[in-house]
Amino acid sequence: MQAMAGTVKRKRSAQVKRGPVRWPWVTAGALGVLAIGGAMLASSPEQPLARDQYASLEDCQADWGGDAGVCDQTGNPATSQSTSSSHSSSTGSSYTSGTGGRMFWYGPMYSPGDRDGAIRQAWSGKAVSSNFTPGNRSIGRTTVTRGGFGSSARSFSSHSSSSS
Amino acid sequence: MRRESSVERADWRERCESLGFGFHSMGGVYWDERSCWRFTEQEIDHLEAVTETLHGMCLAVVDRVVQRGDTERFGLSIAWAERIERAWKAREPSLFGRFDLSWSGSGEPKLLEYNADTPTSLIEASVVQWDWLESLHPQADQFNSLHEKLIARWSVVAGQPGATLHFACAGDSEEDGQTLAYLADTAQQAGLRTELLGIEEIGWEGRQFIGAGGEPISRLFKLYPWEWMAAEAFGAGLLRTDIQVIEPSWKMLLANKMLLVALWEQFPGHPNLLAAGTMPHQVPGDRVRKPLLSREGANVSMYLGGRLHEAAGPYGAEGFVYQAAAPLPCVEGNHAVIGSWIVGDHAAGIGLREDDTPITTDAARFVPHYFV
Repeated sequence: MQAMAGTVKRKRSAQVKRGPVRWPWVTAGALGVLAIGGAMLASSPEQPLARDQYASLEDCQADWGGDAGVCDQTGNPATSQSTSSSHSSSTGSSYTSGTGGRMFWYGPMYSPGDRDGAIRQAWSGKAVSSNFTPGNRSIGRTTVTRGGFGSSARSFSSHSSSSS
Repeated sequence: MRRESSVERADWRERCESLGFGFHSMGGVYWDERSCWRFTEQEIDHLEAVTETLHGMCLAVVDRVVQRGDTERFGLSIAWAERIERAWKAREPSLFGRFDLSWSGSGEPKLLEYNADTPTSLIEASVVQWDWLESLHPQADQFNSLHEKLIARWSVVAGQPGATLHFACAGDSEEDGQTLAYLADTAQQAGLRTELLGIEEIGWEGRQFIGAGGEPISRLFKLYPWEWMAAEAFGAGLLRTDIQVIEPSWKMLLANKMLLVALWEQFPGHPNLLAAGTMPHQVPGDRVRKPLLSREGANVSMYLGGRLHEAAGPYGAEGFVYQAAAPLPCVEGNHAVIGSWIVGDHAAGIGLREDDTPITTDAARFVPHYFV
């Protein structure tokens, strides 16, 4: 790089500023994952959480109580797929395949064995009949497993950093 | 270049912490402004040119390795070799890297290694070192445009303002966490939306990776070695999705010490390289044995004048390479290595670390610099 006459070659001209990002930033949920017996829990994936997949926002809200933000349209359009078939993956969770390109709506995450309890909780405080029964307008279910990364950091824990 | 004594600022700890650099005293002393290094502008110009030359040679090595399919000696499976080939041919962009150089100011700087995947000592080389310069040498200059180059590079690496980028590292490392927070800060200043999480928090939904809030991860900056991710439970998912990972997977070739051998084979006798081979007899005389995959000097053995220096560590299972020794300049028992940064395709600054031993370890101290 050649210096130009009358200019400062490498000094910053703009003010260097730091924004609000500070460590620790680990979320409360993650702390539950990380701190068990003072050690990292990352050697094997956790029990998966499930969430229901819907063809429309209306169907999702009908199941989960209708609060804003309860249902979200996550999913990469390039990879979103229908639930026409499911397979077992090498990571221990299931994945779906079928026609691609659709966007779906997803309900909140819940323990796979307690869908009804999760829905009742979502409806708590709302005006519902005494014989309320959780509905199911979903077109499929996905599972999310966590803890599948991070085990090497613990294996090499004699070194404080995983960077160089 | 010369080492000078310097007076500590009374409030240096507070200033460091105000910049988000809280690990200034890890291991006892890490940020060490009791001394500094002074360079001439000509020396800095040379370091800048050498850094960009080395960067170009490294890219040439990747190109040749991919073209020849010569990935086996890097310890890569066919599946990972194919992923690397796809990433390279797609020109997946790199953010940064740090070349560690041995140089005393005379002769040519020699490449010791390239921290291509998870380079740190970043926040201290960038904003903290700059704050020191403004405090003590406001009329001098510093080889340091890291901050603004990082901000500028994000738009190339991660897309237009408004795009979301997830940042992850091992959740219990203060050094990595603060470095990650700094990088996320520069991304925010580039207009990106950032989500930070522990690497352990990343979820897998069978077809995509999921963030802490259940959102899909389409772009991930990870301060966590590629070879670790590849070997872990979710590693196979990286082969199956189109997630963009920063650094890109082709950096696995450059973060592997086999790079040193490949460089010497492709550019034999280059003045900024050291002779390197996979067998000891290929590097007669004083030499260094380095594990293919290691960090912070761990498991490095140095044979100097018939004397053996060794750094302990957990690495070496994948094998070793041998490299001619290029002892670091040593002043009053302080062995100084120059870490020279590349951001995108441009040299972006330097940071010096000093160790009590000829091998730079995680106990090395960061010492600021200026030039006139």
